[in-house]
Amino acid sequence: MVITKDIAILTDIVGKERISTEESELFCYSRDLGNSIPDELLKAYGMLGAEVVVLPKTTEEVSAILEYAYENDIPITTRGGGSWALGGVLPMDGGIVIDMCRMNTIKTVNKEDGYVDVGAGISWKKLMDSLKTYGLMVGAHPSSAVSATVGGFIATGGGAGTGVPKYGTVGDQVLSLKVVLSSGKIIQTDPWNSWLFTGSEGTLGIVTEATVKVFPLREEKHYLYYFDSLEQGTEALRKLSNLEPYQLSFLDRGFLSLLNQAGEHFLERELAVSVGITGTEEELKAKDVKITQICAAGQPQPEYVARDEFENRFKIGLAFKCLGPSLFVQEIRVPLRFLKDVLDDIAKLLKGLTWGIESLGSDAGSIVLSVMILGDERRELEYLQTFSLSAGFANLARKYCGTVYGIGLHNAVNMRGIHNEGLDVMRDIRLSLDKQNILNPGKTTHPRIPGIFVYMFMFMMKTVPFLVRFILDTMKYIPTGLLRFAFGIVGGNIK
Amino acid sequence: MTEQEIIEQVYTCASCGYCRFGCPVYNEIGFESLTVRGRMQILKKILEGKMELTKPIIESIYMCAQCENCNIRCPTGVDFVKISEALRETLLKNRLAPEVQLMLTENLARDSNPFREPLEERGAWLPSDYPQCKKSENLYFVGCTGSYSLNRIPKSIMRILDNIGFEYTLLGSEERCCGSPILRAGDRETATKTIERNVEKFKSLGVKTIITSCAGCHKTFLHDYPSEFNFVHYTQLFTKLINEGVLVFEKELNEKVIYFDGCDLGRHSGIYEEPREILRAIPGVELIEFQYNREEAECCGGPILGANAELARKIAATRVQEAIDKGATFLVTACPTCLLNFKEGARTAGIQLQMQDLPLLLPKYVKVMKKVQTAGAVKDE
Repeated sequence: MVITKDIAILTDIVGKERISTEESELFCYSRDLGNSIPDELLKAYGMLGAEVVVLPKTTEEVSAILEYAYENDIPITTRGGGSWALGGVLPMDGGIVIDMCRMNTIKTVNKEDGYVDVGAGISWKKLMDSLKTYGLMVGAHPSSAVSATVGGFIATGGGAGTGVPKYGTVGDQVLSLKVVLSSGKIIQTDPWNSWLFTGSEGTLGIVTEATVKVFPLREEKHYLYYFDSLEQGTEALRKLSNLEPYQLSFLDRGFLSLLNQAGEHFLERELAVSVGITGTEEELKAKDVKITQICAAGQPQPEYVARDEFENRFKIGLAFKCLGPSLFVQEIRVPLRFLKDVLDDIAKLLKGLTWGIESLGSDAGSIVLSVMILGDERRELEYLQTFSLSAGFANLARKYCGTVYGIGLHNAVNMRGIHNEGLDVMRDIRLSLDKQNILNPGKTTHPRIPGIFVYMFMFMMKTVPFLVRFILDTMKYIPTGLLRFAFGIVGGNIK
Repeated sequence: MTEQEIIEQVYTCASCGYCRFGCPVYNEIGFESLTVRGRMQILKKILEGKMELTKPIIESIYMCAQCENCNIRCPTGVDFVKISEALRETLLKNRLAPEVQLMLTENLARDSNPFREPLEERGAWLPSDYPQCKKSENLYFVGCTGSYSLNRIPKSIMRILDNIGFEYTLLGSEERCCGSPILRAGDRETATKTIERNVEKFKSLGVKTIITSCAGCHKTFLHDYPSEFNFVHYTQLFTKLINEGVLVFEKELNEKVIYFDGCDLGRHSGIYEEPREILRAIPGVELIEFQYNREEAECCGGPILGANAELARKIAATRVQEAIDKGATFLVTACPTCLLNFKEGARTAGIQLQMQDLPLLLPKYVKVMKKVQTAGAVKDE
């Protein structure tokens, strides 16, 4: 628990302008994307919420905060753009929330050697916009680039998004990180030990600065094809991934239909496949021929339509949220070769719900599916049921040699199933770097199990529709005469 | 916006945080409760009866510059500016608005200007023999800032209009506030009365076209007045006159000029190119741009001068510093509020940069002014 003395010391570190204990402020720092996790579920998880929020501007300030927190056993939750839907930035054990967004400067742009040094709190869009003036671009960047920070994408793994199929995940582009360990010690990593902190979700240290690769701005060309057949569409995606496109994604029929209901104008087909390529004029020409061949079974759209969809890529994922108005997002990473089967299985898992799938380009022949499930948090019982789906998605991903895309809070309970024995190794690594477990407690390797009553309740909610459906299905097979007989006895009018 | 519409928008907000990207207040202070995302999260809890409406929450509603930068980023179509207007209206009705806002509203209702200046002195800046309130199809609506504070702006515009023989009229002491600050403060009742009074006045003089030099007035005319009038900003009129060869610039302005897209003229009225065309017509001008310009331009902070002047100046200083970093030697605005705030911001921060509002720049550089042939030359075609 944070006490008055702690606040005074933290104020000394960051100054009174960059610290808050105001109730409404603390509430905002106890929520993330979606802001629709039912309060009951957060209570069941035992979330205490932020007790104090600080906005450091330098690595030294972060170091001083951590050193003090470590000595006094105060939990720390680090926050970037807060644009992830897995509850990764929720302060489970209370304590200090460190908002990194003030560390948002570009320190170095080295065009010749192709790298930039940036504060971890800069948003990807701001970095991309600034690099344009130097004739440069970033490689991998997230679908929430307007809000997501460089540090946040690194901390959450950065394995899917625009640029990933061509340049690899964000980890492939990190040359060095400045990291503050839980004790307050500042380290500078090399490309190899940077991997330790990539995807560690704020549990091993706080990334305060990053040196990432950048690339020369090249010509772009964009394509959009509609496929009437899921088989043809998924096959095209698999082949397209071998061309190392800059952008590779799809929207499924459900997603397209929901977009149209929200006022957009898409054709409603099984899949809309979007491809973007960059390179020299010759490279583009060569790839153009191949893309046309691969997508021969699809219905091509004019380039301006494809480009428009590409430009809109940061917004489209949330464009139909108003129809919910609440949204529950599940993300899994699966090999492209199983995509058709995975989509079929998702349809079975989500029977009776309203949902759509958007994919994000990934590397190594895989794809990340972002499954958007609509609901209405004001119908609390029904909405709570959707949160029990995370286990189903983890199992589904595992069935096809895939995995969940990110752990955060919601997938932490599935960690054993996801990592098996690897989980013990991860726990050892975490405790060796953070003996007191003050960094982002309750997440990833040290999950918080929701209260037993909530689990029971969620189980019941999951089984009730199934039981009803079972009874109705069974009744279909009872001969009508028998039914009349049965009701006749009850009614007492048998003839 | 109705209560039900507000509730739907509160639940539609995805809390993605895109609204923070170009938010002048958030980018200066950095706390989430000052973003649309934060305000919507708090509002949801208040609507659900799980949070009390406290003083900091009320203050945060007035700390919104209503610049609408968040609207262009929002992927779910949340319009917080409309919500904030409705919230301010409710707070005002219940006398829960901050004291300074309550005073401002009372002053506006009494004086019809936000500067607490006497109503009867509105036309004092005009020579006593200057014809006012004559019948004309064209009215130059000066606005509160031009009437009470920056008289040089309307004088510059009039100098050009009078020199080319352009036929128009002024309301002088008969002019009233357009209603903009009254609406932003949430006093819809007074605003409606003011608008009705103005419309009646325009009609009584046979006015068809209203020329404005205040960006706030222009925005309000476009959005809150009947569409039977033709609203023309002076930048639109002067661009037309330049293209027709009526206005010719000969004297050189050898500066790297950066034009600032104020929110009311830019994002709210869609006027981006005309001020740039005028600047390009001046020989020697090398026009450069802010990183985020036109629709994406980031607010100067002027709209929150009443709620937090210190913060407004800090935001202004950040923009002036960006202009310097971009290599600008001259900052030009087309909104008097932006100019005043930039000047104060730069002075407070100790930053030096030449800056001027566009109309004040023009008479100095116009060499040839031909007479216009027809009185109807300003109408949009």
